[in-house]
Amino acid sequence: MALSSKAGHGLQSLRERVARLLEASSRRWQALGGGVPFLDVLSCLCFASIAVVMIVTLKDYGLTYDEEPHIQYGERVLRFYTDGFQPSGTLSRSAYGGGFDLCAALLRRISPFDEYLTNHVLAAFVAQLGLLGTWRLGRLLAGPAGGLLSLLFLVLTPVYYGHQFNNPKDIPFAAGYVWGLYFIARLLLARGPGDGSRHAVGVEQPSGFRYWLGLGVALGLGMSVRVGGAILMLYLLGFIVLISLDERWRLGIPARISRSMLWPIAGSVLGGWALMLVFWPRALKDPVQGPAAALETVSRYTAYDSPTLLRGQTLSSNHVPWDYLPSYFLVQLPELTLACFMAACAVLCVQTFRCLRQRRPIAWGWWLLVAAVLVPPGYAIVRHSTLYNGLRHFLFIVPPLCVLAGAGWAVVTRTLAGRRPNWVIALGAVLGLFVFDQVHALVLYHPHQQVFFNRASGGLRSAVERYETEYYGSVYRELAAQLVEEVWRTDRVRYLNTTFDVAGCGSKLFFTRNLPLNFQYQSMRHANEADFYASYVRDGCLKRFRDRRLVTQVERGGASIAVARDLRQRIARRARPKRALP
Amino acid sequence: MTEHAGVASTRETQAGVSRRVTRWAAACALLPIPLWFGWAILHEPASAWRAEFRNTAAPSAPGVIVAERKLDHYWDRSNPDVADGIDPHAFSARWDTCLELTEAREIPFMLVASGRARFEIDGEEKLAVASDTTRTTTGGVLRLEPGVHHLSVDFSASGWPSIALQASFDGRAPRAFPAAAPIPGVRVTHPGPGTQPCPPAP
Repeated sequence: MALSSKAGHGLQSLRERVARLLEASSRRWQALGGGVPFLDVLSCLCFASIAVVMIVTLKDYGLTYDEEPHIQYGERVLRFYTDGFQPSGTLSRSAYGGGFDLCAALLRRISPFDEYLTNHVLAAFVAQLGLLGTWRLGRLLAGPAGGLLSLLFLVLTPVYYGHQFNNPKDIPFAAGYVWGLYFIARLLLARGPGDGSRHAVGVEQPSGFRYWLGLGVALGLGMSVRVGGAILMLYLLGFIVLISLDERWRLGIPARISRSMLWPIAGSVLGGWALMLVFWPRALKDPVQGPAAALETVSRYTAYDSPTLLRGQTLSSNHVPWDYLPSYFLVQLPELTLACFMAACAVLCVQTFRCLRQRRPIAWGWWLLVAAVLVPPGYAIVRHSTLYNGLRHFLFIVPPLCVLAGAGWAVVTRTLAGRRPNWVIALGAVLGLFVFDQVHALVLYHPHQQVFFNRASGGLRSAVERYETEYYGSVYRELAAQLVEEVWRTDRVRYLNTTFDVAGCGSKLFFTRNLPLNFQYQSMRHANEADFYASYVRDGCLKRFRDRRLVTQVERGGASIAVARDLRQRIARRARPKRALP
Repeated sequence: MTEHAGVASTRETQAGVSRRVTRWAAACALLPIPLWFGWAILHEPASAWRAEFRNTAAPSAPGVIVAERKLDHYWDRSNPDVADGIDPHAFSARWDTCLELTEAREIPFMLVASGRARFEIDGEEKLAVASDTTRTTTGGVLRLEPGVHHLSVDFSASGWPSIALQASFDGRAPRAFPAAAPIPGVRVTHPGPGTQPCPPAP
């Protein structure tokens, strides 16, 4: 009894000493850092580190399916302006704006790199913009800790990280989307007297030309990549109406939007729309009907019927079940991110219920993020939209999801700090483990982080034949390099005097851009005449030619995501276990 | 009054800190990539190959001279552009470069072409391809003494043409050269004008 009492005293004294040390360090830091919170400094260091890593690893990422059509589209948009505003046939029908593509076309005029690497440079820069927007949004809601944690949760989401380098559509749109949410959140937080977001830091009443310009630019750039960015305007108007109704109900103030707000909002929306038109020749020709028709096209994209995988079943992308998207998010996002997101939603529901009972302001800024995460996939489910390639087309909801997770974690930690400091230490340890684990995953899967599947789903080894994994084609860069080196290593004399024919699944471009000229692409129709078969995992392609000698393969997480086989050499048939690797 | 002024002052300080932090974060996030890209533009290595394209359908027309990084071309329906709008089915071309070695080396070379192509080192033919439509590869390991060597490739297109000269300086599979990363003891430079395009090193 005496021993446990002594141990308890010792622990208490240690705790007090640690608390005094932290407080003294914090005061010293405040004096040195000019009032800049230490967590913000950490955020800046994170940004710098991420940028350096991106630069160093940029050349590891291969080209993807969407890059070539977007490069061509960017050139056509540029020609539209340089040739006197004459749209070609395809330009007049394009369902997407050319915001990113036109910028890439301009950059290629001065770039010392080839068109794909130049694309990747711009993609990485735009991805950094998206990370910055996510940080700002998290910081707006939950202070420096919210900003840092939102940033960490996003950058440590492998499926998002991997797309940042070579996805010319979904990541630029995600950047525009999160910045649009940031500006709308600022407006909502500053609108009424204390709307419940007690943790918002440095919130100023949005005023002045710069804020409204920023809102318009964010809206416009988002829509210039995908017209679905117009949903941001719905959020803006919808939440202003909700807040007005809330104020009327709580305070008896007539529900109205003041003129001082109405005109700047209208100006920003129209300005954003005008900015979208600049990058989209089809919309320039028909500013209202053009985007509306494009929105209808992309919502029900029945022109493209690609088979897709879900839980081991091959489905038509035009007829996927309602849980297609939720399933992919559940298996591809880190477990802690998902848990924090759901916990944040649950706490928000409870807090909102209490606010309603006590007639206190509701945290509308947080509900904006919940809507931003749930409405787009909800709309796709209700509309029975064509869905394929897993969650790729909904990568844009990952940043607000991570903000909810990260900012929610920050709020909980701050709340517990006063009452249960031991729990805070435990949370810190869990977070540290999570960061370490996810950094390890990013390194392990490099440069194919987009094929990450979480442990709860069984990892990539379990997912590779049950879900869409490597569908984008970037793996061909590594596969081609391995194939070439292996053939050179094993048969140099023949290598020097032979043009090898290579057949495989996917775009011809994956072969012509990644293989040297002495390896010639052969279509799958004539695969039996080819020397090698090289393919990724999509559409069951790994299962073909299993009776031919394996030359090399690309493996991650214990699973093969691409193989190259020698079609000239059959291997002896032998009994194989049911789930053998290729 | 003092209390309200204090609260207002605290808010202003917070806003000021927030602005400062935002600027720093934006700089850390957004400056490195453009700075690195700008540095890459300024330090872009000079193109090592001098290429001259001639339209065989108009032999009297002057040739189009272009600087190229590598000798690695492939033309088809989706990529039909030869220099200056020349017909991809009816052109001839010549590429020249200077290869400087600090020591003797045995270098695997490969000439890959669909069309007719000839590879020469210091005016002496080393490899040749004569193929109208099929892409053909011919190669060998050639010994080169230290010094500056004039490499040239003459090419005549037919069908949908392709042409590449590949070499290996590091034991790995031959690739179109020069590679982005420098190789010790190997330098590939743009040839000069005149009859001696690759003068010996001083």
